[in-house]
Amino acid sequence: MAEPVRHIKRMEIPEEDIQSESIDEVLAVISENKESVVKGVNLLAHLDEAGMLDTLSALTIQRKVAMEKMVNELIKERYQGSLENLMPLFTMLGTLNIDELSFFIERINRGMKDAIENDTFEKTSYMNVLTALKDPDINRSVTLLLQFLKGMGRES
Amino acid sequence: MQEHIVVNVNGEQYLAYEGQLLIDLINTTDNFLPQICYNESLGPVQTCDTCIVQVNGEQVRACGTEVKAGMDVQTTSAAIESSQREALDRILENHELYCTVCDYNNGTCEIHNTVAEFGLEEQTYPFQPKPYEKDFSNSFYRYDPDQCILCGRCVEVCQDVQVNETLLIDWDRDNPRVIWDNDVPIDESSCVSCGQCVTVCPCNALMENDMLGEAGFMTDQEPGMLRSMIELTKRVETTNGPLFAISDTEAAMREERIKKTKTVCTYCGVGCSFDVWTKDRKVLRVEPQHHSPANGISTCVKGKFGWDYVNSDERLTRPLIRKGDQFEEVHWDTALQYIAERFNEIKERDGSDALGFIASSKGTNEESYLMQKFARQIIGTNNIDNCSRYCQTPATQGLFRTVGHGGDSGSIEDLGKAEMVIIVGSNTAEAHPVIASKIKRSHKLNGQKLFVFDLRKHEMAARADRFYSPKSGTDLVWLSAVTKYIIDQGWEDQTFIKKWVNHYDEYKESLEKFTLSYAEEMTGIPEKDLKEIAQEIVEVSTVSICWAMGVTQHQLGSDTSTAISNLLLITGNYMKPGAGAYPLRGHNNVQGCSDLGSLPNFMPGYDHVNDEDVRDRYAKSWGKELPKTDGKDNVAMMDAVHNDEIHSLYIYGEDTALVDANVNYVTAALEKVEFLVVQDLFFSRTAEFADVVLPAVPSLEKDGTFTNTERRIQRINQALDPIGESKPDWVILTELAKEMGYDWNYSHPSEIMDEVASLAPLFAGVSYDRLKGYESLQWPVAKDGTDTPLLFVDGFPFEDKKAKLYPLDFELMFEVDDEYDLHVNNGRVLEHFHEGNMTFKSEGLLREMPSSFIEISPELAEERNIKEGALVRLTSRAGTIVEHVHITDRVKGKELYHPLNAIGDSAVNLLTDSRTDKDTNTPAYKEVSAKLEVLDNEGNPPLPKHNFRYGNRQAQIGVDVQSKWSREDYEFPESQVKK
Repeated sequence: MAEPVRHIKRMEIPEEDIQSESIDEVLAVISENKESVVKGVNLLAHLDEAGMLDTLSALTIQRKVAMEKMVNELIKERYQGSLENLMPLFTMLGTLNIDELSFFIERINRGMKDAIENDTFEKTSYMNVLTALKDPDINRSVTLLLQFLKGMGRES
Repeated sequence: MQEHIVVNVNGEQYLAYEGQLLIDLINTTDNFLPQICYNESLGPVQTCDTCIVQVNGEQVRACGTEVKAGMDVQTTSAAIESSQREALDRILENHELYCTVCDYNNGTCEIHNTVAEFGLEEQTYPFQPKPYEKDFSNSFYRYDPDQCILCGRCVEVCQDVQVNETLLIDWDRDNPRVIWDNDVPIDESSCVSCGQCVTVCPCNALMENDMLGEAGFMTDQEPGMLRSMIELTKRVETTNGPLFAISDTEAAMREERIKKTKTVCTYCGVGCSFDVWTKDRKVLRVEPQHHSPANGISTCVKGKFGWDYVNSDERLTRPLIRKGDQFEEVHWDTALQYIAERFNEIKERDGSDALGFIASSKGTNEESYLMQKFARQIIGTNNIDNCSRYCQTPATQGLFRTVGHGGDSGSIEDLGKAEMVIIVGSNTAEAHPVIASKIKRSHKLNGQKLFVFDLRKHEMAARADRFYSPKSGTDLVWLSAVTKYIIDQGWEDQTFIKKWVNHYDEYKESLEKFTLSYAEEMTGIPEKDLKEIAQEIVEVSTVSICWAMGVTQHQLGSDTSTAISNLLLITGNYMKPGAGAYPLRGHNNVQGCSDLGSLPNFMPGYDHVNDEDVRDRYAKSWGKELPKTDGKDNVAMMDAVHNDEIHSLYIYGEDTALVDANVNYVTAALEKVEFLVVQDLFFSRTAEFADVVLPAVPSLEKDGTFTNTERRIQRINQALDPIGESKPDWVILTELAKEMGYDWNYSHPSEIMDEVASLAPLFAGVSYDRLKGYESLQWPVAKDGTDTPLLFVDGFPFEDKKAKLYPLDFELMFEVDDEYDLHVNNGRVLEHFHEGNMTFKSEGLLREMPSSFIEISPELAEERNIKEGALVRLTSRAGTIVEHVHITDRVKGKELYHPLNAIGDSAVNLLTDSRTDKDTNTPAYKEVSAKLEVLDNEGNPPLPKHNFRYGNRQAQIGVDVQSKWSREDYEFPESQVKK
C-alpha cells in the first residue's frame, strides 16, 4: 500500500566526501601523467618567473576588451592601406629574385656608406660629371644603372 | 537489370546507366566538378550554374543533363572554367566569406569547399548585402538573407521532400530571397520546424539557433564586434587562399571540441538516424545523412530540435527509497539490496507469479531482453509485457493470424514506391512525420493514389484523393465489404490466392454479411463510393495499407487489423515491393521491445513459451527451467493486483499511471500493490506510487539497438556521460541480477545481442559488427547476416508457406447515447510525444504548443455557444477532465479530439475506461463517449497564433528555377563570359 508521494529528501553528502572524491580523481590523473605534470609545472614556474603568468591571466580575463580594442583600432581608416597591403606584399615577396636583389642591396649599401662618409655639399658641375666617369667605381655604377634601365624598359 | 551505356568523359570511356544524371556519373570519376546547389538527396535544382560542362560541344549544367549513349563530355577547358568561375563569382556576390568567425565553418561548408577546390583566389564582383533583416522569429532556426546564395535547396526540400510547402524563392523582386508562405516571418508561417531546410542549406544562411555562437572558437561575439571582425578579416585576407588556410585550421580545431555521434531518434517508430553534435553536454546540432537508412536527410521538429530533456534539471540522479511519507536518496548498493530482498521475500511467500514486469518500448532491444530474462530466469514467471499492449499488439495479432510475421511487410521506401497508399486511423503527418513525407512526395510528384479513412480531416486527409470518415470502430465493415465486392466482381488475384493462400472458401463464406448496403448503413460510406474504392484498388498493381491506433485501440482492433490483411491477400498485395501491410509503430522501439520477448506468451523472436523445444533451448543457456504457461499482460497484471494475485511490479521507462486506460483504476492498483519498483529518467506520476525509484538514462547516454517500424535494427551510440549516478537500464538490470545471485557478466550491450542471436533464430545473424555506423539489419536475419528488407519473398512463415485468410464477424461495440452524446477521440500532435515527459522539457516545443486542448467542430461550438479558449468539463462513464477548447474543422459534428499529451486534470485517460480489444486486451482508448458542460464560454486561445496550424501553405513543384532563368538580369554564364 502506497499513497502517492512527491517529496524527495536529497542525500546530504558531506563537503569533505565530495572533496576527497575529487582529489582522488585528480591524483589518479597526476600519477598516470607524472612526467608531463612535472614538465608542465616547470614551464609554469618559468613563465611566472618571467612575469608572463600575470600578463596572460590578465589578458585572458580582459580578452573581450582587448579584442575589441585591437579590432576596433585596426579597422580604422588609417590602417586600411597597410592591412590591405599585407597580403599583396607577402605575395610580392615570392616574386622577388633574392640572389640578384642582394647583389644590388650590397652595392646600394656601399654607396650609402660612401655618401654619408663624404658628405660634402659642393656643387657638381657638368665637367665634374665627365671627370667622375673616369673614376672606375663611378663608371661601373653608371654602366650598371644603364643596363638596369634597359631591362626595366623592355616590353616583357 | 539496368541497361549500361558508354559515355566519354575527358576522352575516357565510362559505363553509365540509362537515365543517370551526368553529374552523378562525373562524381564517380576522378574529375573535379564544382557543384553547390546539387545534392544527392534532392536531385537537380539547377540554380547555381557551377557544374557547367561541355556536352557534344555545347555548355550545359551537368546536373540537368541525363547521360546518353556516346555522349562526349568535357569537364575542363578554358571556356568551361570561365563559365564555372562566373557562376562561382555570382555566388560570392551573394555570400560574404568570413569563414573563421562563421559558425558553419565545420569542414562541411559547400561554398567554402567548392571555392577552395576550384582555386578561386579573388572574386570578380564585390559582396552585395541584401536589403533584408535576419529572421530570428522561429524557436529553432534563423534565416540570414545576406548569406543566402539562393540555391533553393531549402525550397526543394520543403516543397518536394518534406512536402510541407512553406518555403519559396520570390524570383520577381529586385533582390530575390527565400520567403515563408506568402512572405510572413517564419514564425507566422505554416513551417513545422522539421529543420530539413537547415540540414540541406550548403552554408550558414539557415542555421540551428543552438549552433550560433557555440560552434566556433571565435564566433561568440556581440553583433557589432562580429561585424568589426568580419571587416578586419576581409582587409587582412584579401585573397581566399590565406582566408581558407586560417579557417580550415580553425575548423580542424573544432573537431577536437565537438563530438559527433550517430544515434537513432526516440520520438516515434520511424527510426530516423543522424549524427548528434555535442559540445560538453550541449546538443548543438542534429545532422541526418543521405545514407540514414530510414529517413535519409529527413527529420521532424522533435528529432531535430527536441533534445532539451536530456539536460533537464528534473532528471533523477540517485536511487530513491520510500521512507514514510517521503522518498530518500540512497546509494545504489542500498537500493539494489532492498529490491532483491523484497523480490525474494514475495517470491518465497506468494510464488513467482506474484511478481509482474513491464518493459519499455523506449528502451533498447538489449534492455527488453534482459527484463524478460530477469522475469523468466531469476523470478520464474511469464508475467512480462510491454506497452505495445496499449497500441500495437492488435496489429501484430492481425498479421500473425494471416501472414505469420508481426511487422511491416517491406520498408518505408516501399511506401514511396506503392501505386496506392491507404491510410486507416493514422494521423501520419503528425505521428510519423517522416513516413508521411515519403507518401506526400510520391503523391505529389509520382501520381501515387492516396486514400484516407479517419475521423479527423488531418493533413493526410486534406491531401488525399479520397477521404472518408467512417463511423468510429467500423473500419472492419468497409474493408470487408470492399473485399467482398472485389470477389463478387471476380476481381480477386486468383493466381496469387491459388498459389499462396489457404482458407479461401471459408473466408468467402464469412463475407456474406458484408454487403455494400450493410456497409453503407454501418459506416456511412455510400455504396457507390465503396464500389469505386474497390475498383481503384484492383486497378493499381501495388497497394500498401498503413494503419495505427485509430484501428488498434478499439474493441475490435485485432479483427480490423485482420480485415486489412485479408483485403491485401485477396488482391495479391503481398510478396512484392510497394505492397503490403504497414502497422505504423508508435515508439522508437515498440517493435523491438516485443521482438525481444517482453511479452507474456512469447520468448525472443516470437517463439512460443508453450513450446517445449524453445524452453529447453533457453533452459540450457540460462541454466534454469522456464515457466510453461502464458503470463499476464499489462492489463491483466493490474486486475491481478486488485485481486491480490500480484504483489510486486517492476516497471521501467513507462509512465503507467498516465498512459494506461482508465487511470483511476490503474492508480488504485499502483497504490495497492505491495512493492513497486519504477525506473525512469524523471520522477514520473508512476514513481509517486513506487517503493523504490531507480534513475535511468536516455538514449544519448548509452549504447544499444532500437528496431523501427520496418523491422530495422539500428545502433545507438553513447554521446554523453550519464548524469549524476544514473545508469543505463541494462546496467541496472545486470547489477540487480547479480544482487539476486545471477552473475550475467555483461560488460557491453553487444554481448547481450550475441546471446540473443545465439538463442532466437529470427535474429541469428545480428551482431554489432554488422551494425557499425549507419549499417542496419531488417529481421529476419539469417546466420550469414542476410537480412530481409521485403518480407514473404519466398512465401509465408507457415508450414506450407501459405498465408491464411481469416474469417471475421462484426458487431457494433460502441455508440454514443443521449446522455454521453459526444465521441472523444484522442491521439498525437506533432509537437509533443506521448504523455510529454520529454517534450515538455523543451522550451521551443512548449512555445509552439504550451498546453493541450480539446478540438471542437465549429458546428458544435455554435450549438453550445462557446468560443475559442472556452473552458469545458467533459465527463465520461469513467471520469472527468477540464480543458480549454480549440475550434477547428479538422473535427466535425459531435466528434471531439484530445491530444494525448494532456496531463494533470486534463489527462486523456481520466476519461477512458476498461474496455479492451477482445483478442489482445489492448485498451479501447478510442471508444469514449462523454458529455460536455461549459464552465466558461470564452477564454485564452490554447493554441498560440504562431502555431503552424494557422499558416498558409504555398504549394509548387520545387524552386521554380524557370522563373530565375526568365529574369531580365539572368544570363547563362557562357553567354555572359563571351561578351
